[in-house]
Amino acid sequence: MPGKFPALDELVPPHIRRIEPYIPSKPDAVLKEMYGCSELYRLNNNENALGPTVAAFKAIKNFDPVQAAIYPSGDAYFLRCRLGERFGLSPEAFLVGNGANEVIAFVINAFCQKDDNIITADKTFAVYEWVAEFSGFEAKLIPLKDYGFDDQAMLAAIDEHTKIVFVCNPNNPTGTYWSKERLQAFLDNIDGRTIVVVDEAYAEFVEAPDFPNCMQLIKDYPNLVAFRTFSKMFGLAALRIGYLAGSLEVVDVIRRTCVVYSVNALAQAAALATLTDADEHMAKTRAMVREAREYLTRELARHNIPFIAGEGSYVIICLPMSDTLIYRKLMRLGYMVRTMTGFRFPNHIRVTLQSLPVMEGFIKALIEVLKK
Amino acid sequence: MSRMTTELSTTLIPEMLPVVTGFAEQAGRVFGLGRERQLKLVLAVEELFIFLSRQDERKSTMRVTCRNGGYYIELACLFPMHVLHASAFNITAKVSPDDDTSLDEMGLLLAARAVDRLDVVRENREFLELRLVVEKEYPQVIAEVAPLAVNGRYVVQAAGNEMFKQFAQRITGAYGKNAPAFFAYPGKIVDMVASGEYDAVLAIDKQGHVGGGIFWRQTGKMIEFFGPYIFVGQEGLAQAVSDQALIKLARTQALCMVNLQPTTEVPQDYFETLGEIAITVGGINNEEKVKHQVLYRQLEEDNGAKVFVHPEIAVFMQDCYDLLVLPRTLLTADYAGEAMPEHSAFSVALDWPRQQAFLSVLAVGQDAPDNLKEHIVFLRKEGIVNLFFYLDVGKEEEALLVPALLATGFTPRLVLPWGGYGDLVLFQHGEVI
Repeated sequence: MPGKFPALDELVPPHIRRIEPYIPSKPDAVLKEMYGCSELYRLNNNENALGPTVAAFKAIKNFDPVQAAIYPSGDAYFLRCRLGERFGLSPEAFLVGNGANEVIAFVINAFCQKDDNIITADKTFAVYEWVAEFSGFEAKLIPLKDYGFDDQAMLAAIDEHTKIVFVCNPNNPTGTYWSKERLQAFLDNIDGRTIVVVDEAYAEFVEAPDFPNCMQLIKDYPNLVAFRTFSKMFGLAALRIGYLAGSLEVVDVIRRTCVVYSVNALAQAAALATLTDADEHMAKTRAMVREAREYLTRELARHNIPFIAGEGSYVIICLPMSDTLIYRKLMRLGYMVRTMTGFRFPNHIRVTLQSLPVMEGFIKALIEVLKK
Repeated sequence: MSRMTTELSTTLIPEMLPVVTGFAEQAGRVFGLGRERQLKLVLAVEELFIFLSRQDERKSTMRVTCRNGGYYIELACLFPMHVLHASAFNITAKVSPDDDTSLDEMGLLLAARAVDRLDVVRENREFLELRLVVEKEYPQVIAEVAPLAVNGRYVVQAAGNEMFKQFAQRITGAYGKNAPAFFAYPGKIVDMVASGEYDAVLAIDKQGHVGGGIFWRQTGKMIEFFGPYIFVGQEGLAQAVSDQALIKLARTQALCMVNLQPTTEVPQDYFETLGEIAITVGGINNEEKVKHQVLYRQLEEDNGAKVFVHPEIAVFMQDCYDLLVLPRTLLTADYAGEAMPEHSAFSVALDWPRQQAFLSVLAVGQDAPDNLKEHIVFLRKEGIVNLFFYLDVGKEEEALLVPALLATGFTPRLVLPWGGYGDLVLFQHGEVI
């Protein structure tokens, strides 16, 4: 006999009912068929076109299938040790997660309780806001100022229920960043009242000399938590691995909400290998991104198309029309971009900086769809 | 008191009628319905309860929920699916004074007539819900409002109740019958926004004058928006309010926006044209047909979908999708003599003030052509001049209704992507534009 339909009205909490499930893109093969394009250039997720580092590539290739039957290290032991060596911190200062998104949830769950809030910007990476809201906490969204996080407005918004302030540095999608001096002033002002999370998913792309190194600042600011990922610069997006670093006391609290065994053995092996040739890979990737940015911004300016270009591996393009329509038109030509309405930038698209030939093809396609 | 609900659970037997009508009357009163409208609600629930209790031999339990929607009261009756067979939902059931059985079936018709809206919703696999909506009464205000300073600076900012009222009055003054009738009731606009079902973005100057704005209603994944309405010559104002509306909607449940009656101020290229419909406005003696482009915008990336298309509208559908650059796999769906339930059933969303009705499918059955004809005759007789049908092509079985729709005088006008479970095809009854 079939079971009774669950009383969803009563079972689902109100804050979950309000949330729209995130529906990821379909696989490339399906999209290509849908849009009738033979090639699809992924300029939507800021993936590294150069792929993983040489050492990580080898580690993935040489991964012993027998290991698939054995549980991974539950807390990425060797990787944490290696991270500790690289950044001069204790291995216990790190928590590794199944992508940086998972560690966002760890932090929020560790510090927030009923009636608490978090503070972030309105036009930034959406996951801080989403995780807070589907966990039942308020996300106070501070408007960007000149496309950057507004430190003074964020400080003013802190109240007795504020537990965490999230700063995306450099900001995704605008590419603006806080200098070391500005971040330190902000942390001084907070003076330990809240946890300050600095999401450095794109930090490895930044070449500006005044960009802060949070791994060093952690020693001076025990309320500072830094997020990093292997998905962007290090090309391990498919393996889902990221980490956070903080003072031992703060990380010890976050560890209590941490899901152990969530990072698979292949991801740990690839990340560990990445750290052996990370610097070389960063130099190559930075050169590719720099060249792509220079080309793209020059071409956009030449065609009088406004843009927002800062740090990071992406550029925002301002359009005279709906970004979702442009998305569909570009897809037909084989270029997948990120629409920015969801980032609260209607009529904008974000484009991943890639190799020059792909950028050249993209510009050609963009000009073509804008002409129609 | 807004958003409050009260609930009653009762066995479906005629003896419980006074309990149910008493509940409806008291809930209506407490939630702010005037005496006349309380009685409308009581009459509707009375007819409905008698009707259902006569239908149900198993003496099932019905849950009655009365909800204060701010500008309306909704009385929702949730009961097991077996209480009614499909044909009983059709408010057009044939009625003969000599036939007691057909008199029984008048219940839904009488209930529908008494209220402002009647919707039938299939709640899940086991339950159906009939929702009766009676709107509250508001004074109509068509007063002159002070002219706006030509050199004012209007910026998008948070608005209070008085701003919403001013917005409504300026719309009535500047757009007249080209704007929805509810703007003639400024107090209602305030309650509509407070209900959470509607929202707005207004541009206001330092003195509190409203220079323009955009208004919308969210239903599931879809936003129906009205405007933008602009009362001053400030450059870029329509764009500013449209941008802010998009920002406000960016991380909500909404997938798309549609405007059935756009103004001339809609910013160029912000929206895509889905097609054109003709709306009849005015009373019997001053009827007028007004053509509108229907505008649309997706709020998320479209990753494609499969749609079920009957061969008779396949060319139309393909043209629509080509125009919209929408990735759709068209799967042919055609009736080939397979077993089909005897009875069809249609849900009718009635909007008496606008003399408008939107039909949609509850069940596909063999009697669909006759059933559709009866709906058309009935609704026309009731004064409905704008008659539409939403066909959900995300559902395989609905495609089979296309021949019946075409044969009864419906014409496909446009495709509304993601308007339902999948895309909706909007059919309009009557002469082709």
